[in-house]
Amino acid sequence: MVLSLLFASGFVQAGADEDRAAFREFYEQRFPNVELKQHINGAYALDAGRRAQWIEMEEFPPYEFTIDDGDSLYHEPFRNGSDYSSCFAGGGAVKQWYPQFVAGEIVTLEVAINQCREKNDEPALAYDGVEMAQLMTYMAYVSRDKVIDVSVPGEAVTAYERGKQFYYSRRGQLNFSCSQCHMQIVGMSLRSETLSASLGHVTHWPTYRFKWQEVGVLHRRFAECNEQVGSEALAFQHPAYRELEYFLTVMSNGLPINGPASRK
Amino acid sequence: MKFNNYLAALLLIPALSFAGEAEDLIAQAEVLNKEARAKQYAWVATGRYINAAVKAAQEGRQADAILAAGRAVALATASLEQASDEQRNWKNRQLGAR
Repeated sequence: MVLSLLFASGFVQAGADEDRAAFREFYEQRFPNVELKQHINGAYALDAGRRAQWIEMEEFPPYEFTIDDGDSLYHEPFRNGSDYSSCFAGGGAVKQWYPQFVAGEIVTLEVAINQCREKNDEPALAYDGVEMAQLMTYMAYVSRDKVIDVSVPGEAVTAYERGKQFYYSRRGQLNFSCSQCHMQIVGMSLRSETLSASLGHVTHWPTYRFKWQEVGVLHRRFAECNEQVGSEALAFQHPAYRELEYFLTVMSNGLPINGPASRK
Repeated sequence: MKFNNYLAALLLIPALSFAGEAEDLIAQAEVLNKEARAKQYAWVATGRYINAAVKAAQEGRQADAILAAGRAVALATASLEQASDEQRNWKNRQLGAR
């Protein structure tokens, strides 16, 4: 009786593990012929023709120079003689562990990069700048094949839930939520684009998008999605975007990092 | 001469009234849009209509300013309703909610 009342009033919220299990089950049922891991390739997991074209494009990956630029930036010593390796283990292969919940806030890898710079008396990089995208591209590259392992400790539940709320909430004049495109009508087409699954949405960033003609970070895509439905975009690394990234990353736990990538 | 002044004043009344109405609507739209933005629910079109209304008012096109500002108020109001509705409705959309 009490339980049914709680369900009816919407007070019961599934934990992150239950959410992830439901997420995986949803896509397994929606795409029974697509191996779950394949969703890291976005829409290319769902359309054989596009996948073939994309694999050919990847023979000369358009993000290759960005990896090199990021490599140089990553290994360039700070003015105090230290460098990024003083903050990140494994030569920067740490993307699979971000975002993290530290001291009451979600710390994405971009935020951690700037925290590292500030610790070493270097100015913070602009979150929407070229250098940040280059560093992220390099760190994603060296993190390739590492399996996402992001936890939700007790004190992070509120932030996680806010990220989940953002994902399921309708926004903008077109009144769309992330879940409507990437769950409800996933696999269908919006104009000429196939809608990808949210599972694996975070694994392949930064991404070279042909539309952008350059590599961009995940929050650039969040902002673009918001604008596409007529909602004002938030600033890159706005707490709400960090929480959304946190939720999506937890949903993709267990999947390998495959960034950087290219997308149409 | 005196009569002409009166006439001019009379002719100005509707224009001044229009100007006041446009200013009020623009101010109202800006307040509502600011509220929506604080809730992360501002719409792109609202800002565009506010800008169009301000530009029209500056150029003395009061009727256009009122029209655009009125639309901005309507959109900002709708975005706030969306923000309010989604505080509840998102829960019904999450997996396992049904």
